[in-house]
Amino acid sequence: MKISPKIFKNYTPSKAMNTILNSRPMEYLTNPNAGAAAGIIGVASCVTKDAVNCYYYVTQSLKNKRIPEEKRKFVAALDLSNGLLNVAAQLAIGIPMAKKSGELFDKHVAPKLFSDKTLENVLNNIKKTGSCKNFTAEEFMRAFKKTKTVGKAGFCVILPLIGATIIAKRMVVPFLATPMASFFKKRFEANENTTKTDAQQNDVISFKQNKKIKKEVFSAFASN
Amino acid sequence: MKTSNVTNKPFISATNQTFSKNLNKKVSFGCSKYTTSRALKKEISKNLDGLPKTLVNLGKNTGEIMSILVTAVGTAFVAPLFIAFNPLSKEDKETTIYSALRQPISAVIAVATQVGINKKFNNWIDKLASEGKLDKADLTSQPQKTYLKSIIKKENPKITKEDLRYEIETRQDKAFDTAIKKTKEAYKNGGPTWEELIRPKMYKDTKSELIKELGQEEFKKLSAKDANNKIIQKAADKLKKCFETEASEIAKSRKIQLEEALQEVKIENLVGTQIKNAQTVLKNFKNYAGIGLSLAMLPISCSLLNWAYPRIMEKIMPEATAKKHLKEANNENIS
Repeated sequence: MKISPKIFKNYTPSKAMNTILNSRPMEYLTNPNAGAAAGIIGVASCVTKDAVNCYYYVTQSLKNKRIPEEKRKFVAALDLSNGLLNVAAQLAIGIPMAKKSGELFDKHVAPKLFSDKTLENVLNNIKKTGSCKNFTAEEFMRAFKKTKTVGKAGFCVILPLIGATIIAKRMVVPFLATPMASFFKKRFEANENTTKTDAQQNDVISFKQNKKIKKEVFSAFASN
Repeated sequence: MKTSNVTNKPFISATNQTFSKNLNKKVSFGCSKYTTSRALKKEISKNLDGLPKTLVNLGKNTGEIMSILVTAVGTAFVAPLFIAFNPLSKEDKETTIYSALRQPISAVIAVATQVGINKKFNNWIDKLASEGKLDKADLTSQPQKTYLKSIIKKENPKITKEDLRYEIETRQDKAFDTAIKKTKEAYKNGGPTWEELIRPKMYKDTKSELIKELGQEEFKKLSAKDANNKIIQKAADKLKKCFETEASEIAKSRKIQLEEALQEVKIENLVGTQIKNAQTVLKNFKNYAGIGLSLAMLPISCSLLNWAYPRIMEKIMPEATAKKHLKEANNENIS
């Protein structure tokens, strides 16, 4: 079917952006009343990328001809478990951090970083430089509180991001992944040896046995 | 010294003591004039230093690019250490270092591809919003900094940093004044309704106040329409009281009618509310679109890494690479 060029006539990129912005899901997501907390969006972004990356690794391992065929499923299962571990660890650390960060900021960070002393220093500096003159005490305090809120937003985004992408992904997962990989390796090698003995006895590995190996690899993965 | 554009309201010479005492009290909402509040926020941010300044800067720049950069820091600096010095790993030192070096290369590629495309996209979206081409994020009354920066730099490539900042602020103020004039004309016969001036945060706050007043049970008994009307009424009363105080001060200082002053305050706040909403929509949109863009770039960055990593390693660690090739060849022969 030929697509008529008329459809695209006057359909500029800005109109395309408007169509996306006016679509139902975007309307819901971008609504100033309903926007999700920035910290959770940050963690969601990292987790989504890792999940997609995991999919790439698994499919690439399954198609990789440089890996012997009988080992491909094992390698793919390892990639999958590593990916799932990555996603789970980031969610387990990042989401609670995103939820608790606001409270943490109000109780422990703000009293130290946005204290009365900071306020006095800022006020003195503004008075000294004379860069901003006509304002009332209340207006200054309201503006200071709003600036503090921006600082809080920064804290509430950076903390879960550090928790998810540095602590979970780069510190916790590597330690869990190494023993997990050796566990898989042992299980797989044990299964492989049994099958090899059977194969020597029967002189040929039957199709059913091949299927059995794959099944065992996945059941080993699933049980963990 | 270039001074910020603030109201002509007399400065109440409160001592620092008064400021400090009042800081921890709950400050009443929304009475500041939009321009005053904007100018003060800019000055406060400029005068902060150390960690508070860093947090405020982070708060202003939240979004996909920040996620990519934090992830890249972890990948480039933390991951190699944990791979190279993992006590549970049984691989030899050379192999672990060979594997660890994949991480910084991967981080550089991720930043180059994902940040690059997100920055370009954000600048383009800022341009569309600033030119008023996005219905839901029309920011003609507050053109985005990136957009103004590109225009000013085209006009005057040799402009200094300070002059550029001043020029951006001046153009933003000019655009804001134009928006005020246009809105005034649009509301020639009667000002905006109080309902139009209620901001989302204020609506939420008033709702929780009403729940506290009536009690959860009583509030639940109200129909959705009644509850909404009550919230709007309550919020409108608060706004009215607040704006009238503000207007009476303006009326006195400029010797104009109270009605005229009230109309001015209402219109400035209406434009301010529209800017705030448009900015929130734009920021949320950039966040979600950024995730989509980064996902779209993943296959490219993965392929780029697979292509670049062995080539770079051949140059950095030729011996380890040769050893790895030999090991792979042996494995292939065995299997």
